[in-house]
Amino acid sequence: MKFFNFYLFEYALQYLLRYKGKNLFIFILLSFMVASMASVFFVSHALEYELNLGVKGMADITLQKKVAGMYAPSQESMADKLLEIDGVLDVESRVWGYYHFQQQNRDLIIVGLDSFATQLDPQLHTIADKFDLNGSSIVISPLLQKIFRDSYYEHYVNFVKPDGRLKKMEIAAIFKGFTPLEAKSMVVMSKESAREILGLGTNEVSSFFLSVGNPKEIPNIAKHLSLTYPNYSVLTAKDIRNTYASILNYKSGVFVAFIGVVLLTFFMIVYEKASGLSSEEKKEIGILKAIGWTIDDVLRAKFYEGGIIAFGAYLFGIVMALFYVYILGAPYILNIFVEDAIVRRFVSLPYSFDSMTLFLLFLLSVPIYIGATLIPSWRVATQDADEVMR
Amino acid sequence: MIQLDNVYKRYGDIRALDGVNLRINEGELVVLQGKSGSGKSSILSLIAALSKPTEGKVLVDGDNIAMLPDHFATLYRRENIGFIFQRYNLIPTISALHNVMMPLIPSNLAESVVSQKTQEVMELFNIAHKKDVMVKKLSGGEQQRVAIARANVNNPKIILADEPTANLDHKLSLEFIEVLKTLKEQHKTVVIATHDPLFFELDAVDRVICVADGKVVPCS
Repeated sequence: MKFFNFYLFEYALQYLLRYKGKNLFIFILLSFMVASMASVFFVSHALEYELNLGVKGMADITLQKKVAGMYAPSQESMADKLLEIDGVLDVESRVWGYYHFQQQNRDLIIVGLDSFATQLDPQLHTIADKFDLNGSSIVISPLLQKIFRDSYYEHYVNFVKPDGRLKKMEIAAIFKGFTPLEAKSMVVMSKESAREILGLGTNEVSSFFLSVGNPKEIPNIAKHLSLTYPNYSVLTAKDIRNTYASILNYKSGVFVAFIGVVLLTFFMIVYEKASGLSSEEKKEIGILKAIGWTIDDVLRAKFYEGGIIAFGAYLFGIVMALFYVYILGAPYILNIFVEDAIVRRFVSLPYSFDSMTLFLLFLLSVPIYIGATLIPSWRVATQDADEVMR
Repeated sequence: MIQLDNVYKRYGDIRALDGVNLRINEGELVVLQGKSGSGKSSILSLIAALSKPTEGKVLVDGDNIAMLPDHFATLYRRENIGFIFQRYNLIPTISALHNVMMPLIPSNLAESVVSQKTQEVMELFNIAHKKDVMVKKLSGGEQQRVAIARANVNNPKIILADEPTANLDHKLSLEFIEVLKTLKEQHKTVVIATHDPLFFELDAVDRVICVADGKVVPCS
């Protein structure tokens, strides 16, 4: 007794080819359904993965002053007080802020670095290590290089200071390692230059980034900070991660309607298939039984038949989705996730394997279709062969 | 070896068989003679366990096959019965070769064995030269040969043929009679349901049983 019956498989394959028009249509539809759902999942997972990479480098707690609901600068000396709190390992005071680049109507993030201070963010740490930032040099991402070039800034950029005068900054280097997406809009410069452009005083900083030794203590320290400094906004890395994730989930939700339509079409086919066989198909089952095929044999052939279509379409759909997302860069779908057309060109979609998603897609497609193939055949196969052939 | 004891078969209100008693010995070539609707095909169907009697016993080698559940009835058919249907009941859109090998597929034999048995039986019934042709493209006589080859590929001990010459011309009917002689030489039990007079006077035929209105009646 062999495990795999080649001729039974061959019969199933021949059966599919005999009704090739109908089966090809089902194969294409099922592949399209799997490919579209997998593409959405791949894109959202890849973006989530990139976001998580960014969040990984984030401080445990971020503290920023608010005056009448608006963010305001703090005195740098406050860092010493924060360092005295039990459980706080390190405090980084950062100079940063949004800058509206009018020529391209785009908000940039100005980040001031002190080469001698510790940087919690690994990207900024690398930049501080790698590049010597003097009072007139900046490090930018390839995305910003493109944006500045579009405004004819090839080697330098003029920033407008709060007093209306210009500050000319040389583009010292292009740093390709910025993640997440948001960081691609960063302009990194010396702390002094950043203060000048953002209009901060000599001892003023924008935020404090706290590093906590015991992760379990983070909520307690955050609570303590909120109570001690009620005029400060206190955000943990978890809060920031949840904000990013909710934006991503909302965008994924846009696809629910589209996937719903594809699923509905698929289930209509499944329903049609499960509701009965043509007289020709019924007669064939009757003939098979008459020449010695048991119900099990008929169902095994039908299992192969459904399996070839469903599993084939599943694999094909996944391969198509991989190609569409990771080779072609997910055009159209990415438009919804990342609305900015220029940013989109600089989005990298890192491959992230999510076995649960693939398994969910498998469950949604393969067993349902095989079931829809087996049920009507089982109904016919359990009748008397004589009756079926008549 | 085949025995029908007081067998009744009803399809709704229609009484197809009405208390049939008959006995067919091993190796016999028996013709069931009767008009259309007389009950001949129902007798073949019961012997093949394709349907169950409403009442009575169908004994083959002493076992009442009428009592067999569907699975075992199918296994009985696979091992013992070769059925040549009136309209051949072939699968028209696959090749002659695939039609003939169909009964061997569930046996899960080695591919070489399936291939060899199929080739041999197709050569025996002179249809090997058409093995790759799709059945619907074959002539009536060739289709019948495919059906005969399929009925014999499992080497069953009982061959049942339902109106085997109904769709054949005289020349092809004579060719079928040659096939019957081959089967008899192989000591198979052959039961033919027909109203074709060609069979009634054949030397190869051991017995003619007449059927009318669902009963076995004396032949006039």
